[in-house]
Parts: sequence; structure tokens; C-alpha cells
Amino acid sequence: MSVSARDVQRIGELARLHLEDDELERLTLDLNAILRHVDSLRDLGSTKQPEDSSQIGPKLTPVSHEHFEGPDKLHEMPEDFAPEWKEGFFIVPAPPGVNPSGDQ
Amino acid sequence: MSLQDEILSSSEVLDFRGSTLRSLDDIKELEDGPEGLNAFLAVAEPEDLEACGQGPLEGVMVALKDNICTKRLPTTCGSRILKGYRSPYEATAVQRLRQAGALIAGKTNLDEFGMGSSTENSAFGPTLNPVDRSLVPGGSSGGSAAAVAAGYVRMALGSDTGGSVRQPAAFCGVVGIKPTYGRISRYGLIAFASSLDQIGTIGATVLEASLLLEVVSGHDTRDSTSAEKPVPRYRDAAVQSIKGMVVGIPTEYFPEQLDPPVRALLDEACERLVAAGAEGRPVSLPHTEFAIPCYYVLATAEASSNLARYDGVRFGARLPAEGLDRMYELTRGKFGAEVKRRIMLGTYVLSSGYYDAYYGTAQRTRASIAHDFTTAFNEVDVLFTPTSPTPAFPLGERVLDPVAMYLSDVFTVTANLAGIPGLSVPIGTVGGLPLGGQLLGPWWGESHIIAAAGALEASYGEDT
Repeated sequence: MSVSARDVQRIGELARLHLEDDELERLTLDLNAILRHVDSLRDLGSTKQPEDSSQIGPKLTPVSHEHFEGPDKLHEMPEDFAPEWKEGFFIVPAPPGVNPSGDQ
Repeated sequence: MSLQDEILSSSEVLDFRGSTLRSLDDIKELEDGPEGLNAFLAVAEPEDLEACGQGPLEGVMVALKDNICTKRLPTTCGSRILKGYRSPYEATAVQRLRQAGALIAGKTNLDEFGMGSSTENSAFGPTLNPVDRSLVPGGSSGGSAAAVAAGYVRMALGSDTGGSVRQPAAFCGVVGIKPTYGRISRYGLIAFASSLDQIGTIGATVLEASLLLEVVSGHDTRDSTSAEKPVPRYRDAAVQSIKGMVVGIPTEYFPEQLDPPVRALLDEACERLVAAGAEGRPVSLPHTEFAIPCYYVLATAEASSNLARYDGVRFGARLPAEGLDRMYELTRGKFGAEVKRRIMLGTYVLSSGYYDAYYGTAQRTRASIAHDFTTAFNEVDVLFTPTSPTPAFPLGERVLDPVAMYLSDVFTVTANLAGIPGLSVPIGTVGGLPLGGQLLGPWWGESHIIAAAGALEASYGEDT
């Protein structure tokens, strides 16, 4: 795969990097050289992968889930478990010194 | 009393260190003079030397790579974006050094955020190799390796994401250890690629690098990736016999393209290991050829995420601009060329449409590389390889060719991808320049590689 100067400009925007014109030109050349090298990874597609490709290093003891309550509350809609809920917001007590009505 | 005996006997340590180490004034004078190496970005003032505990490093000055957080000295990561930044907290490894009695001599130069293999990517200028000032010291922990090789300090901490402790140690003729991932707490190590980063130790000898490793290792509740495993006395391993140890020689690490003098030194080192009582055995690590592209996809992907925090709001420099987005872009424009290159590559490989082609494939490749090592370590105790294909190269030679620079790491990145420990030990010189031999071990196999390195060092020592 290769990238154009326009692609590089767009990547710079995604990465929030300001790039001068000369940097843009240089980065386009560099990224294409690096991507040509990185593309060799595709050659690996035909070779055999280990059975458990997620495991790097020694086997870890699985975490026991027996103490966990399920399902995760965040998988439910907030209004289903919020103590108070109005128009998309949680209703909480006002902090000390703040008048909930907004009056001075 | 030999150096080894003096270090092993803690009551003798202070005298030994006091008589051989340079003072802070010496370091400043040398660094500011015409023979300066730009190894240090900051040298401690006497008032910075906090009172510390009594332990095996009592009175020893240790240098720290400038991506390890200290409260009394700035932490810049070799970047304009963190120039003058002072961390509000101290790295766990630094606290452990102080508890062991060490004094922090200063902060050493590095490639910006650890991204490089020559220390030429520092915003504060390159470090020079003390063996030959026209050459790079390696990187990214080039300042730490140069400081030890020049005799400014006997020990230093670095960090190793793809070989950044081992390769500069090899280029400068000193010893560098990257331990198993999780051996040393990363709390206070500024992140480059979190699944690959590991603090490592550099010493003038195997014993000193091992003693430093022993001091800073151990579990830390503030780093969830640090392991709850006891820390062996690595200093003892440095003088252990290797009789009966099986040393694997991976064929993929000895390509035909190696220069004959380099190959000859590597063969000689293998013979010395055998002479010390080890058994040599050829092994294969078939996915080695994919290690560099795999590493540069994963490391840059993680870097693009980790470095997103430098936005002018939370850390370091801020360039004024109209509007928040413009301020982000201008501020992050202060990154150096290599950091920008890696952030761009990392952003690209993680972007929609390319994620699986690059990042997903690289993750699967990483597992294959790790699997190769697991298979090899079923047959052998350690592996012996070159640390780098060549000795130190001239300043400026590879700055404009990122792929050539990345290929400098071809023999070291695999240890980071697999999480295993690696060590570089000097094995002679080519044209007057030091060459390093690398020992790789299974997870938590630091004692094995230290023992093999100690045997090699002793063997070369017998020649002098």
C-alpha cells in the first residue's frame, strides 16, 4: 500500500500535527518507504500461526468471575438504575453553598 | 581485593566507589569542555543529592535516562515539548535506587521519547561515542551508555523498547540488560510503547549491571504489569558456573550478509562459551524476518496513542493560537521529525480500513515470534546472537534513511516483542570499535543470561 500527500495531510489532521509543506513532502516519501517494508508482513499470511495467538509469555491464571455481579451496570441504560434522572441528566443534590434555583 | 569481591562485600562498597568514581564537578567540567560528549542533559547539584538509605549502592552515583521521572531534576525526554518539565512524582526505580543508597548523578541524553537508534534524534543535540567521537553511541539510551563507557559513572538506567539499552551498550563497549517485561516497575517511566517498554540497566561490568538490576527489580502496586515474583541475587549469577548450560545458536541471527570480521568475533564468543562448559546447539526462530515490520507497526501504533497527551494542555509546552484545535496542532508541531514520523505511521496503521491489514497482522506475527522462542527454550537454556549487525556507525549516516536506521534493531526487537530478557556484553573489537554479543533467555531467565555473560566476560578478562 502507498499513501499520497493528501493522505498524509489527512493523517496529520487525525494525529493533530501541524505539518509544513516541506515536512508533508518528506513524510510522504518516508511513509511510503516504511510501508513498502512493512508490507512484507502480508507474506506471513500463508504460514502457520500458533494455536493461541493471544498468548505472549507464560500462561496466566484466569481471573475468577465468581465474585462479580453481572451484568455490568454500564451495559444498561442509565435511567434504568439511576436514583433520579431527568431529560438525559442525573439529578444530584446541590453542592454546599449553591442555590439550586440559580437565584443569588 | 578484586572488583567483584568489593561489590559482593557491601562493607567495602563505599571505599571502592569513593576512590574510583568521578565527582559531580568532574562530570560538569568534562561535559562543558572540548571533550564533552553531550551525554548528560542535566547534572545534579550537590543539594540535589538527597539523603538516602544504606544498601549495596551506598554512595554510588547512578545516571538516569531522561525519560525516567525525578522530582529534583527536570525530565525532558529529549524533547522540546517537555523542555524544563518537572515531574510531580518520582519513578519507583529511582526510589529503589535511593533506598539502596545510590546518588542520582544526573539525567542522560536520549533520542526524543526513546525513538531512535543513535541518540541523534534528541532536541538537545546528539551524544558522541566516547570510543570515537565521530560515531553515534547507539540509542535511544546513548547518553547512559556513553556516560558509563566514558567513566563518568559506573552504572546507569536506560529504557529498552526495541533494543535501546542493549544496542548502545554494544556500541560503547559496556554491558546492558533488558529484563523480562514486568521485572522492573514502569511507574515513572514516560511511555513510548507500553507493551514493549522496560527499564534496563547499564554497567561497566556484568556484575555492576546485574547488581543494579537486582536493586531496581520487584513488584510495584503502582504498575499493574509488574510481576509479583521474588527477585534473585543477580550479582551471584554473574559469577556462577555455566557448566552444562545449553546455548542455542539461532541460524536466522547469523545471516550471510554479516561482515566476516563480525562473524569471526561471534564464532569466537561461541567457542568461549563452550570452553567455559556450555554446550552449543543450533536452533531456528523462523519468524525473525518479520520482526522489524511487526515491531514498527505495533510500537508506532502505541506511540501515537501514548503521545496524544502532549497537547499543550496537560504537559509541557503550549504554543498560543486562536482556537483549541489550532493550539493542539501548533503545539504538537514541536515534536521532532522522527517522533512525527512514528506518530503518523501509528495513526495510519490504526485508522479505519487499515487496522486489520497492519495492526491485526502485526499482533498475530508477534504471537508467532513469541511462539518461536517458547519452542526454542524447550531445548536450550539461553540463546546467543549478535546485538547489532555492525559496530557503531558514523554520525549522520542514517539520519535521512529511516528504514536503514530501523534495521539497526533487527536482532534486538524480538526480545521486546516476546517479553523475554536480553543482555549485551562486549565480545571484542572490529577495527577498534566494540562489538556486542547478545544473550536471550526465557521469561524470568535473567540469572541464566547473566551467568553466560559473566562467563564470557571472565574469559576475555583472562586474555588481558
